[in-house]
Amino acid sequence: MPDNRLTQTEASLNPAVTQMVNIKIDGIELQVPKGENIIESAKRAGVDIPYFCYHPRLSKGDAANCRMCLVDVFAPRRAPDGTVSLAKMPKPQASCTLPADEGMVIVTDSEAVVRDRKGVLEFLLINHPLDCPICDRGGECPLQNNAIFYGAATSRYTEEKRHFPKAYPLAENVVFDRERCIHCARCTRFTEDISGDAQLGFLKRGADMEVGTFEHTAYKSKFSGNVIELCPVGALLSRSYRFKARPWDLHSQRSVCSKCSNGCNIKIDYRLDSLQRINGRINEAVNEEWTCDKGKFGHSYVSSEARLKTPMLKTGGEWKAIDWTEALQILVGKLRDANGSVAGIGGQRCTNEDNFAFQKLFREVLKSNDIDSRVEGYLGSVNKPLYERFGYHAMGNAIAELEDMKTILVLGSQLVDEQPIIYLRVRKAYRFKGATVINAVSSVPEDSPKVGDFAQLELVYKPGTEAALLKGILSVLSAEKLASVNGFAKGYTLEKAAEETGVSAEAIQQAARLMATGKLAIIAGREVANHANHLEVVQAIGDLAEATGNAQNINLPGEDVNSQGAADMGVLPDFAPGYAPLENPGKNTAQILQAAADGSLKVLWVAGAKLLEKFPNRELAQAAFASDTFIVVNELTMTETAQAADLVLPAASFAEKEGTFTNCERRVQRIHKAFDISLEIKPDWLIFSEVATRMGGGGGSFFSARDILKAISAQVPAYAGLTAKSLGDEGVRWNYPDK
Amino acid sequence: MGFLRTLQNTADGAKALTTGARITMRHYMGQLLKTEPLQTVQYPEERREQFPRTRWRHVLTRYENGLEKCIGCSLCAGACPARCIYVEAAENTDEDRYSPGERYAVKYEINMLRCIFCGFCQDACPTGAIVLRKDFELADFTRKDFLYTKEMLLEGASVIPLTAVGTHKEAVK
Amino acid sequence: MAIRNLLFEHREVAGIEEMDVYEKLGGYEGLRRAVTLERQAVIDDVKTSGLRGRGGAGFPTWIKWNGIPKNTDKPHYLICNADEGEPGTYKDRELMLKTPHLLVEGMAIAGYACLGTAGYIYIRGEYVEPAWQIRKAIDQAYKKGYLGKNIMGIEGFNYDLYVHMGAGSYECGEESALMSSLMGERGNPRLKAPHAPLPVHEGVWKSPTLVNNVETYCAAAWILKNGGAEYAKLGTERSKGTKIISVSGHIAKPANYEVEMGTPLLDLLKAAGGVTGGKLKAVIPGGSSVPIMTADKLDKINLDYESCAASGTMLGSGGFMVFNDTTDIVLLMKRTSEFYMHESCGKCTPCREGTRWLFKILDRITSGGGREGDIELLLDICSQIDGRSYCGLGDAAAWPIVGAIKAFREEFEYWIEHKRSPIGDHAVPPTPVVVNPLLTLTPA
Repeated sequence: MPDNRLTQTEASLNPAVTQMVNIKIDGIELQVPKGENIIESAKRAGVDIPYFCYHPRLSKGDAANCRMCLVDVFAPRRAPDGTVSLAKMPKPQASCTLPADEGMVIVTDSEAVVRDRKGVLEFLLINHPLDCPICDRGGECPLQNNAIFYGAATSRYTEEKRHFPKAYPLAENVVFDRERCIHCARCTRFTEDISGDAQLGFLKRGADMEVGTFEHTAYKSKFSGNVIELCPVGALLSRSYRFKARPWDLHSQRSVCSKCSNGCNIKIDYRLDSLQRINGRINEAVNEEWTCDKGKFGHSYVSSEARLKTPMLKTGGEWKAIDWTEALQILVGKLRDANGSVAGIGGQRCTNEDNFAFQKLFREVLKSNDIDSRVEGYLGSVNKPLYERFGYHAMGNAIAELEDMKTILVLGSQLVDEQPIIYLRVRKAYRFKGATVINAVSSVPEDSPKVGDFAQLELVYKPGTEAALLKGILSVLSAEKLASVNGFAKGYTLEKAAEETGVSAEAIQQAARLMATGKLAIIAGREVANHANHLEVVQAIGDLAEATGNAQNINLPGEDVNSQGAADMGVLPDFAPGYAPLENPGKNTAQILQAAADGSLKVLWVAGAKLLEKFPNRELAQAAFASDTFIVVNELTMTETAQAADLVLPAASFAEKEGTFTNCERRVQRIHKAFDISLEIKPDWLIFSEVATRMGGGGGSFFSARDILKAISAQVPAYAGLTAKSLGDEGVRWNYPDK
Repeated sequence: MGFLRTLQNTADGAKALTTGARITMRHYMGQLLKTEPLQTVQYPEERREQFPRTRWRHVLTRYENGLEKCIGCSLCAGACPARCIYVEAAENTDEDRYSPGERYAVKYEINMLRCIFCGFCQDACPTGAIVLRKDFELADFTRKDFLYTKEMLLEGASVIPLTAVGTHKEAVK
Repeated sequence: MAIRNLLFEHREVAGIEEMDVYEKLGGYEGLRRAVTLERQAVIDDVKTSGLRGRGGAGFPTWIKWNGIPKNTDKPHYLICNADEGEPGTYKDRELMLKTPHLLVEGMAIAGYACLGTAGYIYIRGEYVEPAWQIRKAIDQAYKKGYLGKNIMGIEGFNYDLYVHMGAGSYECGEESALMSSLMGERGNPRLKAPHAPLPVHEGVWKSPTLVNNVETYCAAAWILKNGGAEYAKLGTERSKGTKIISVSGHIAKPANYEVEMGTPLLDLLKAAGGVTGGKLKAVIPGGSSVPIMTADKLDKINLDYESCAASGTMLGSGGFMVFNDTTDIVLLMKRTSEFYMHESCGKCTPCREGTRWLFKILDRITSGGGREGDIELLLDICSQIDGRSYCGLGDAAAWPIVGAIKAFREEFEYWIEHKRSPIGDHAVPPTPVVVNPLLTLTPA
């Protein structure tokens, strides 16, 4: 595996802070960590230094090419006789890469600096077309801002500007206006440093230089949307947002992405009642500032025409729009008639509030424990795999903690698809923190980026042999006395593991040696979650973690936006909210579907779960939907599951309701309502609450999402004390009491 | 003394009345004999010439070749202090071209009830597309009719909603 | 006579590129002597010699050699910068073509002194023949045991030498861009001190790296053979030894001349047979990047670093170009700026955009579109490029134009005013006939 950490990104450029130094910026004296970039120090002092190419999260090695941040620097010089005098550096220095050193004096407002800035802007505007009125970046463009604040009013350039065809289709979601590019290299550095696919680079040289991919192939990345936000001009543009709105037309609302369990913080930019674009919002603990393409471009469903706007009833095979009064009347009637023979499935895409109201309705009003949020994978008791042994359910580490690992084992996961933000952390740990990554997976996809691109070791095993592989590793650890294995891998040998898994013995040995070098995190993915012998594989993962002293570093992140929260809220057959065990557990998803198929279930309520699309045993799901059971579905659009139901209730998307999501690392984060698509669309909790009220109230009636959050914090120990206010913008990660 | 004062007041009143009546009579006779110019304009049959910088109804203008000047940049909406302009843009194609360049306004609406005729939109317009002209007879019967659409605003189209005029292509003719 | 052939001592000897001939004439004695010395003693000998970098900047060589850390577990790399791209310079070509073993010996000595693990000779892509010669010499040196494992019987002196061909970029002659290119990255300059560690601490593959010019390594070989003190006898007080000057242009005998440092410039002109085709008009003493000198100032210039700097130009890489009075300086500058526009790597704004703007203005002036204020604009653009870019290419693009305007302002004004050349219609020199085709050898 070639070392592609060649650029100057390593510790030598970003040394650990050992001491503070005194510097002076524009007469302001301040103390900063030694080696900090002057541009960052200037931010501390409140001195504005303009820049284009600098970005604190990108490597420093290729930076300093826009030359916008030039400053005058006076460095102390020691004469032979010991006297120290300040000497001006002969050339102006780029403050974005200049490390702070004792006694440095920086001047950012001298005549020369002002002139340099004017000069650089004049150079940049030589070829930059002045089509700001039709540019999507206009109004939020760093080049516009800097040109207005620091540029000259006119240009002396009278020659022909460079011309290219507009809107070059760079990627599926990104169009590229080559005329506008100012060659800051932010996008190229992003693909190299952050996403890891290194697909963008510079072609040609000098004034002909342009950003592009090798041989002009398509830019296929899972993170291509970020380059749009990184671009300091309107060169890289979103295809879906192109010409849709100007920044001053938009309103912005803080939210959390609904596409996976990582819980990226996002901003919903909307106009009237339609979502226009998604931008990343900074949360250092979760997504830093990145988004994946699924999240950035995958939310067009929110404002799509296909959204359901009234309840739909199937009568005689035909769908008929009805009003809410009628829908609730029918539903309540069916629930009354069912007399407790009711079951609920779903909740992984709903907020905590929805889920809490869901289980309250079933447990306290309908008196049924047959409720489960899981539609695939392991359906047994959630305490079995990890909790009983290590005291946690899904992720032992916070996402940000992965940076500090020496070794990271990614097991059975197409990490970049399943957990894109965890993938970016793993990549960061590798690229900037020197971690070693081992990728164990049963199939390797062709396209980049993926963990295999930078993994030190890639173990491709036969599908389903995860446990054998882990036991093989344990046997090596035991044989080479790298760790005290406590007889975990008894009766297992390296040869046997190699034969069973199809991985070479040397690779297993190497992997074992790498794992014994220090802090090891294990991230298991879909292949483990859906494994037929899930418990056995998790047992082996636990053995490995315990043997290497990393019992708290096992991570089995869920996949849906609120799979963690739904479990926390007790949408499980055997646990009340907060994992309080129930005396008489109900049925899990498979058992519920079986009951429906048998005809012993009267009413099945599906809250947003895509049963027909996702449930592994499709025949069973189809049989359940074909039975006489009355099936109610809360959905946004007419999905396959909704089509097969009897009554479909239009539910609000995440952009239309208040609430909280709990991401895979147990961080509870708020979402805010941005707009209403239609007043006939209701959030799930309101639907449950209205039914509960009509059924006789009990504990299931709520007035608002905030009201439910209050109930949650009062009744769920892990969520105790959480209020809308205390969650703030960055959320709160809840911890197990003993941790 | 009371009588004297009453007399005095009456005399003053009579004097003021005659002064006033004299002015009225002078102008009346002047008008009658046509020795002085007419001040009253016989609106709507006659119309007074307006000042050069009068700002009334908005018009979206065109280039000589018939293409729309508006590029849908929404700067007018940004400049509008009454927030009464709504613009939606789309991309020109070679087959279906409305304006030069890449972008044109697919929707352009002004809520005339909100408009304060400040002319900031005209000021902000980079292509000189929107101008405030002198057509001031903007009264209408329903509120809905004050929502001027692009078809109504576009030069070459009538004040009547464009259902009567047709598409932009016909309007060019 | 100021010609002192040290490195060129044997250049006319037939077969000097072969090992046996080279050894017979005292080849590899420098290496033999070096390995008998302590490593520090070798560096001290170079220090005594006063050798300064021959690539253009004139940085004292021994400081670089001494700067390589002695106690790291990282490999040490030595790079020979043979990417001789400076217009007017062709000294490294002849050195590599005629006496390849001198370079191999010099690099072996540096490898010994700096605990080198591997050496890379980065040869510009167009130098196909010199690369063949060097490859042949390396093969012979391996056979003789001057390279490889346990060289000359010294336990642990393992040193390999590789030839790396550039891909035709002028920019890759810049030290840090060369390192990027060598590692397989785009040939862009990298961060330098004080923004990043020096190459001697962290160069290629994050390991200590020594970068020197071909002539520097060759001089080191001579120094170790004959002793540093012997070398220091030549030259001026601060510029020691000899310098190879590549003379070209309107001159009777264009060739490489090895002159003692401090030789008066006019002596070199005389040695090269004097100006042809007209009277002497101007000289560029150090490659196209340095300011041009008018004929009347030449008598004060000696060929050493200090004297050139005092006269407002530089000795640079020794690309000595002579122009007679049929030369149109504005056309010359247009061609120069076209070169820099073409060779700018595009990394930083002032150089990328500025070089093209300079060319476009000069192109406009020389096609009859000159305007009043163009000269001031040119000067202003140059001042915005000079010192504002990442590496020296921006400076190199600006200096000659500033120098030319300073020295020949009236020619620019003439072009702008009369829309034609002050020299007459014959100002554009005919395309020179290539006497020697590029390739005369066959690959080894």
